[in-house]
Amino acid sequence: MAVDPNMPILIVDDYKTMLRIIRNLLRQLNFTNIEEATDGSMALRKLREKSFSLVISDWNMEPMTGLQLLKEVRADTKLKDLPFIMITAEAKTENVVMAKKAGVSNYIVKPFNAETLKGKLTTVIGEF
Amino acid sequence: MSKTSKDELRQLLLDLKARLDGDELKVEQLSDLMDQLSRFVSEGDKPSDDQKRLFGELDELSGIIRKMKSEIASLRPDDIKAEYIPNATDELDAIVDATAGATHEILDAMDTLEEFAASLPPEQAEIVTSATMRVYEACNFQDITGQRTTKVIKALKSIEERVEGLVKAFGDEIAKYAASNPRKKKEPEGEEALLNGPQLDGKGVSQADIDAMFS
Repeated sequence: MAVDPNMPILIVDDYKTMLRIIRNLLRQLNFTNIEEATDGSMALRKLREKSFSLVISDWNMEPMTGLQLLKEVRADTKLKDLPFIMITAEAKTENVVMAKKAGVSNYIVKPFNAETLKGKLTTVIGEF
Repeated sequence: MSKTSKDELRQLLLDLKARLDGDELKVEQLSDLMDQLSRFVSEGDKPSDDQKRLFGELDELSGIIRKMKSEIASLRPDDIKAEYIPNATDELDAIVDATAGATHEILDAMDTLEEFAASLPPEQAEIVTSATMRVYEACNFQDITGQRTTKVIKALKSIEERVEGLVKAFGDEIAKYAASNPRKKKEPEGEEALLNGPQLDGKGVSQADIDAMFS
């Protein structure tokens, strides 16, 4: 099934600059329906208020981290199947293992480029 | 040694052991304890060979501690806490703010270019879009720089806490050393005095101030 470029995507990062970079890269990949949250708890509120097709989240945030957000999402019956990509500077094997165990759909290490982002998006949501 | 003295000594040693076991012994308390223990050497009857050895060791230990205190005081850890670490963290904060500001400027410029690209023929628009995408990718650096700098600031704060502990433990010693060794810092002269590098926000003059001086 073709990917709808108008699918709602939630991007989560406590660095405003990073939100802007991810938003612009997604826009260049023709995704236009993008919302932002600056930490896990704000993201969780938005996810419970409105339907999203994808979450792209940083890990290291306060008060709720990206991993805690992922766990909350996977524990929620309505959200448990939501594609969830982690974009983070946490690049240790144990981080990736932990995120996989928590049910992350894919994992991108910062700094990343548009090609990597596109590749992971294709793996998670399909060709576009 | 009288029975009372023996009891006192036993109590002192038990106290020392309890504090060592509980990791509660401060350096200055240790030095005081050494002094209290050495008091017993001059009391009572002839000390045994074991007692003499023990008191000899204690005396030596007390001397080492005194020397160590004096050497640590001469390092002026109060300066590290009051001046060097706060300055370093301020400079690092300024780096993060400056790179964040510059990155937002770059992104604003890229937004303008992208809007402009929409009005171009497709092949030209593609060139501009591809270039702006590379700039977005490169701007990742700001997030990484910020996170790395935050790690360094945390490390500095941790050093600051330890230095603070040192200053508390050696407070009197440091104050005594500072009083008897006033700083003879050689103030830079001439052009050297003018070279202080970039100033933190609000610390230097603005371009408007400079312009006013020329008008």
